[in-house]
Amino acid sequence: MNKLVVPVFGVLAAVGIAVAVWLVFMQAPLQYGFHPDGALNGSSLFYNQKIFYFHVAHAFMLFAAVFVSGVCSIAFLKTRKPKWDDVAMAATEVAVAFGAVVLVTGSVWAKAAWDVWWNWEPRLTMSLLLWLVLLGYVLVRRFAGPSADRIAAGMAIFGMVGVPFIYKMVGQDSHPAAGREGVVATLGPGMRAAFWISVAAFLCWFVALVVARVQSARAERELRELRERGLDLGVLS
Amino acid sequence: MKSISILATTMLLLVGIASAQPTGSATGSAADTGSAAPAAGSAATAPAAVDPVPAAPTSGAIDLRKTCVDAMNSDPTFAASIVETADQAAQKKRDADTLKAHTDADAQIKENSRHVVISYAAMWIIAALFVLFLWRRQQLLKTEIANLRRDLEAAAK
Amino acid sequence: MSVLRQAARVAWKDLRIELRSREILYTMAFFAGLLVVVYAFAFPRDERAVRGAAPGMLWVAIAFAGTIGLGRAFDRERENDTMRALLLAPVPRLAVFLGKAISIALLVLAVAAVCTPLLVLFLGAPLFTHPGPLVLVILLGVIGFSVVGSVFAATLLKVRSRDVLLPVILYPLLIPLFVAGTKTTMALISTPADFHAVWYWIQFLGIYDAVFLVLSVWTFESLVIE
Repeated sequence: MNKLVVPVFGVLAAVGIAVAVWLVFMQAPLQYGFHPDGALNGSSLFYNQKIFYFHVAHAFMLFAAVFVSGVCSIAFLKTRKPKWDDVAMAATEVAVAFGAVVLVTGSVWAKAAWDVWWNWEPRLTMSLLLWLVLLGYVLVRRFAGPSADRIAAGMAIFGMVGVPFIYKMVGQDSHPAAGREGVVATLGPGMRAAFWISVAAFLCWFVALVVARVQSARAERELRELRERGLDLGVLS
Repeated sequence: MKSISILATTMLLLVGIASAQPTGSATGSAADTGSAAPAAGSAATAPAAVDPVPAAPTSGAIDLRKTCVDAMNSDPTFAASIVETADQAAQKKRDADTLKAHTDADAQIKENSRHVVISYAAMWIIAALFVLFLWRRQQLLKTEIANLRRDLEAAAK
Repeated sequence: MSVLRQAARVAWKDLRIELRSREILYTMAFFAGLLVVVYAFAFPRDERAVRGAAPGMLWVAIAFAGTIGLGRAFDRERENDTMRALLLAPVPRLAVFLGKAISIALLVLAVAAVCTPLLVLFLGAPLFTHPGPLVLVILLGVIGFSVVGSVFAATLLKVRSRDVLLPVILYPLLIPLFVAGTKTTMALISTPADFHAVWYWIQFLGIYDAVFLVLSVWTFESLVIE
């Protein structure tokens, strides 16, 4: 991969995030609504709704990462080329960080909207379950020794296929009062631009991090080869 | 707990008044206000009902009351004007409530940034930690690779 | 059909070994029974609490005992490196995988057959009000568990920390399965039984099993072969 990819995407992400922050805090209207009788709507969050733009953008990246990791793992198992494995691992590790953001901001959102830190809101539950799969993946990579790449690939594939089941399970289990149906679709005009720009900005950020992580995985591989050469030459013991 | 005790005292008070004063309006007011939740309301009416007790319903007061009722009944617009006055007062209170709701909402918008601050802080801290972790790892790998390369080249010579 | 027969052969091999020593069966069943006793002390035993908790107790017992059985069943193949022999055998790898999954599923079913009556006996859980659907649900859950479990237990065969990694891998992936099993059982023992929910979750489990069976068959070979 080109050396320029990380800086380019990093700069794009920085600019994008700056624009998104400006849009979210300076331009986007506060979110509130009224009941037909004139009373304030219970889902009016005013300033707190600004969490949404970044929370949901991160959640999108979490799902994208599960997908990328699953597809790259399939490619790895088919071709056995380590580059696919590197991408799958990088995407998953970055997704663990993004997932942590999703869970923390989601928890704060729950506190703001429903006054509890955690209420098993369907989408948040789904993020948590996916995040657990990703954490398991990272643990496997770390502790499964030489065959970690295969086992982790299997886990990524099974995890990706399991996403629709988690979705159905959580959806059936949901508490109707807590559901926020189609929030993204019902965003007001001033909010939509801010939202999609922050999604794009965090996509760039995600790509930059994944590519950086892939490069570090490459360096690890190189180091391993050098060590083997060193052992052959008798430099290392 | 507190409101229950207020309610209980009010009830006791009203029952006392009702038993002490078998005739007249006090019994009626006890049945009206004592049955429902608004303890504060009945507490407010209770002293008003207590006050006349020492003064006792003299025949003069009963006469006065009768005069008032008669005056009201004789003039049909009088009752209407009382209702109108009450309506206006209620409207004024509603307006004040609306204004207060708006002011509260405004304050909430302006002041309630705590959650946003927490979540943004968390977001940036996690991102910074991850970048730091990546960067450190990359640096360590780089130095180690460079060292190994040097050693290998030295050994190859 | 010959693949199925070969799978049955592999499964029968495993079961014959097991029937000689009965090591896995006894230890798993003992462990599951022990769990029920622990439940009886750890949770309130009044009728309402038991009704709410019994489905979870049943499925946790299945999950825990099943994981132990999985680990042990594959350890047996590791001890003399017989997994290599199995994989080299002139049968499709699909047959090896299916045989393994079938033998594990039978063991876990035996455990469920032990711990369900114990839950009824010790805790008075009303699990036997609708025995037919309950058996079906346990069957579906156990099939899903042993299919996914066999794949990962087989890949972990050579890994040193396999005992801790097996649950780390399996439980996140199997959460939908266990939740579905618990929900069905809960709907079955509620009064009156909510057959609408039971039907939904049985369909869910059926589709889950089918999808993961296909996926496991498809990936088993490339996951197990070095």
